[in-house]
Amino acid sequence: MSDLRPTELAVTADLTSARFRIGVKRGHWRKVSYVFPILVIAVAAVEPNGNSTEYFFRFELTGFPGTAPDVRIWDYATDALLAVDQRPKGSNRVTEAFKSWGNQTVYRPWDRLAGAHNNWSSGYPDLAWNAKRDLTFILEDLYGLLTSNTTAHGIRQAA
Amino acid sequence: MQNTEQGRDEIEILVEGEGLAEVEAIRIPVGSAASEIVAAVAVKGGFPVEGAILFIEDCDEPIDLAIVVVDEEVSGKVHHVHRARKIEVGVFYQGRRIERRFAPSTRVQRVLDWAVSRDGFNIDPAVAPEMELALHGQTKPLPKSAHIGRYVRHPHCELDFDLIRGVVPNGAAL
Repeated sequence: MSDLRPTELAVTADLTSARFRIGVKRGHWRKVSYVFPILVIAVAAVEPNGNSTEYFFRFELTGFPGTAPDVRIWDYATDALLAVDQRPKGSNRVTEAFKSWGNQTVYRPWDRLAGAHNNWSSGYPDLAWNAKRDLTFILEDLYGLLTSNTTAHGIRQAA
Repeated sequence: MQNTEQGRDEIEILVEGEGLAEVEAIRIPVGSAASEIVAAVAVKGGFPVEGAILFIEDCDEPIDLAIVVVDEEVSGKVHHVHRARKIEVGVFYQGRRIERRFAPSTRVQRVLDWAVSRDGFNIDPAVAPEMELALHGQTKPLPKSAHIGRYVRHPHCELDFDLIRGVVPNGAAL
């Protein structure tokens, strides 16, 4: 029996969970495509000027959930990494998370490769991946980053 | 969302509330009064239904429990059930504390917006997107779509946050 079966079941369970569906219903994210082990999800975003948009993310899910997802910001039209000049803009926290770096994944502690880089996931267990996490954990972090411009835009509008 | 499984029409309602750790989806029969939402959340939250109040996300005033729930009006909206009508919110930052009353259905994002605004700590707009709220004395940023009521249990109606800067790469926080 293939060891892929429980992995695929775990992904399916996450995609049908109430937590995931609620995010879809609220317009925070949407599933774009899924053929194991590749999942593409669009996450809603707010640009620095207050305009709403979305960004695509490619999840490589081999070994999920025991192995952390490999997550890359994606150009869905060309099926390739999103060009650096088209990536999210905003605070240092946003630009650093989506920067181009050696392994080209999203630079957050929960990512398979970024988490191991400089061992920084061990310093931030609240953001590190473990087998009890689900895909929505990552999506909530991405959504929080991508909509963080909301806060600054609100201040500028009130000024 | 209507569900005709097993011959029953149901409406899916997104709910948060007192005693719930996160947003959940419940189902009530089509044609139900709003009080059915309150009853369902009270069971999940482990509190008596008497005196419980129903809000829509980010709305300060409760809604009438006698109204009939209509799918088109509730779809995508998150409801909130709590026994407190208002929560006394305090936010700490650099040795200062500011306070204001919010409905329990208020999202963390809305409290954060106020805390960084000129009415709050007047945070530089360039820095504001890096700010997060954590429960007072803790360091874990709270989800911005969470309702503040989930962190408060009636009759204790006070809630303190810390305004913190979020984690940035290279294992360091600004």
